[in-house]
Amino acid sequence: MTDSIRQFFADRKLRDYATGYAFVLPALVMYVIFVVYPFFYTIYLSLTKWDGAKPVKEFVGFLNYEKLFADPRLWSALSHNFIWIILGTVTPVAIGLFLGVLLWRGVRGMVFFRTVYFLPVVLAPVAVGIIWKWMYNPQFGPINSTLRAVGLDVLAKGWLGDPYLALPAIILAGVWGYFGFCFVVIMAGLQNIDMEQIDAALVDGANGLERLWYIIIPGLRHVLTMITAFTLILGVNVFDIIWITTRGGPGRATHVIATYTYNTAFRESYVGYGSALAIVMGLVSLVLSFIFISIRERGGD
Amino acid sequence: MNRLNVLRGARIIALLLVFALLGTALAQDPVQILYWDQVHGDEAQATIETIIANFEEAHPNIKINREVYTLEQLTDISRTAIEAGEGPDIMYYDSGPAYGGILGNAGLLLSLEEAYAAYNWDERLVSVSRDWTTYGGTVYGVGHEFEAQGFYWNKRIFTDEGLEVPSTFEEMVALCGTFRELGYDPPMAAGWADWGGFPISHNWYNVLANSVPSDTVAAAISGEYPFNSPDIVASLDLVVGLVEAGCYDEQGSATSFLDGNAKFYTGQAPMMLMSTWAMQFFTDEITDEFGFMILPPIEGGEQTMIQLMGAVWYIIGDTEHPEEALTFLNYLVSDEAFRLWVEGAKLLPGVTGVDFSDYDVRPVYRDFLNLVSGWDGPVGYHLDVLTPANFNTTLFESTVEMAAGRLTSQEVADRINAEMERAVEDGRHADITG
Repeated sequence: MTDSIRQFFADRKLRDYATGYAFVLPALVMYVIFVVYPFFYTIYLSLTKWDGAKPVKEFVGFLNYEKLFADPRLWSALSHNFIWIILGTVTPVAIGLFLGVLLWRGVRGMVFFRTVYFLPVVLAPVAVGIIWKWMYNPQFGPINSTLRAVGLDVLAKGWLGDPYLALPAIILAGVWGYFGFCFVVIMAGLQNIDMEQIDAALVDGANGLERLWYIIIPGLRHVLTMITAFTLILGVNVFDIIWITTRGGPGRATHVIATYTYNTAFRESYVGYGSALAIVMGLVSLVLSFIFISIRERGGD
Repeated sequence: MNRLNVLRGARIIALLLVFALLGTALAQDPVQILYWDQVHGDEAQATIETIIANFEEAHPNIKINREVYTLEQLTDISRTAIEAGEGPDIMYYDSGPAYGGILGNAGLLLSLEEAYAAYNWDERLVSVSRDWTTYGGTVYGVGHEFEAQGFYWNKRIFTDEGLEVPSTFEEMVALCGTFRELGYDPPMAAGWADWGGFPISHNWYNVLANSVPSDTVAAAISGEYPFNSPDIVASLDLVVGLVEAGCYDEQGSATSFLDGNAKFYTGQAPMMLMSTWAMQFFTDEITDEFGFMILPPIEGGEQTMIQLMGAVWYIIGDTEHPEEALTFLNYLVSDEAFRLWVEGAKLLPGVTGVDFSDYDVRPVYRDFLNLVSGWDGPVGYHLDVLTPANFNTTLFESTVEMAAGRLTSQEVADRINAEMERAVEDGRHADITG
């Protein structure tokens, strides 16, 4: 062993650094292989024209990005993402908040309710999709069967086959599969609400809505920010539940940017253009999250 | 016996033992051929397993390892697997530029030019086997599923209701309304929930072939004639007419292939427009007698049969066992296998010069075999095995929107024409006019 190496191991500070890096290294290597490298490779592919099979990738510069602006399918998919982000974020958070506040002060069967509400969250989105595909089955699904049983045949629809109903129908399935997560996180956040403030507000004559608006929601600010940002990103990247239920159809009625990207890259074999779409999807996700967190931080504590 | 002779004898025995062991090892280790297919349905599965068993018995040095996928799965994984050296030796995959064409043009498939000559396949197989699996001037596939599109009807219901089988397209459309009034549900195309606009687009290919001359359609497929020309738009209008006449399930886009077919099996639906590949399901499930014929001609026009080559066999370019793969491929189109395909799987392989008279099949299926093999009328094109993937996706999406009243036939035509122009620009189209 040379003197310099011996000195290195003798230096406690350096030794600590080395130990730290040794622990981080495996995760870092995995991160580079599975995140950093694919990310930069996707950027490279987005600058090429390639069908995913030919050995040669033709470099086309920013041509794929130029085409994006004139692509009506992209704008249609983005509009569906936008709808998903609004409805798919507001609804589960609102339901989670409502149920959380309702059960917060303790009710009989609390564990039961918590389990039931959280149960859909443990299901994979694919399972949620399959369940709701059956729920919406036009012939045998429980929704149409119930409607027919009570004489509301006129309301029995081909839910996932109707271009106007399909997207709201899938969003409902997505909300069902997700609101339990919001509920549990909000319940945890509610444990930190200062009960003295609530009691004081009661003494001052504040009604339930006022207590919610002026005490509970500000007290949940950090929790709400976290789940809203998280849900928002999920809304931009949503794929599996749509792919399982409608694959973007009927027509283009439920295509979001992720399904459109997949379709373009792997079904139509336009891998270069699909990569450009993937980069746009990542950027949208990044920008929305950044804006939301900036607004939240500007609000201060 | 001296010591030298003992040693010499021992050496010979040892050598013989080595050869014997080597021989045993070789005998126990046949060439492994990985075969990916997309054959589904109980009878079809049993048929291919029997064919493989028969082949292995006749060729003990070859072992076929079969793995089953769906068409979508093959599309998703084949390219990556082949490029990574993890692909199969033989793949049963769809024909056309959207499927095998991508692999062929990328050099991932084995050229079968020499094999066609060596095995005399040009004489044995229908001509489209070569024509529709030739990409960039080289033939890569051996056609198998020879299909036609047509009109199925439940004979009992037609008799019970005192209705005549339609002799024209217009009569068929009118029957949709008649059956609706009688309380039936004519889901003329099933499977929207599974495949989007694939079924209704198939109906359009039929109408297109019966309303626009074949050479015009060939020119459009080849990118030499616009898909938004008035004659092609008019053919889309005829499909809109089918929708307006109530020929499709009211919840059509939400109905799966199995649910839609179940209506036909149970007599809830008296007629369907489907490809003959569905024959295997129909003959298994439906107890009523049913008939099959080519789409009735449009008034004033000539009845045209849509023929297509569905899935075909390809050998992967980097296979380590091309000889064995070709031997198996040739067996798959042999006389011995042919009978099994027809009687067991209810498929019509694209093989010429076969006499079906002693085949053990249901009457409707025999009618179909005779109809297709003896057809001497005009033949039309089944588009999606000849058109590029971006064209197909847009077509399937747009026809559903057209059926829902969200797009006009002109808008659909404009969309698909734009996709064809894009494919031509990228060199992804098939030139079938030459």
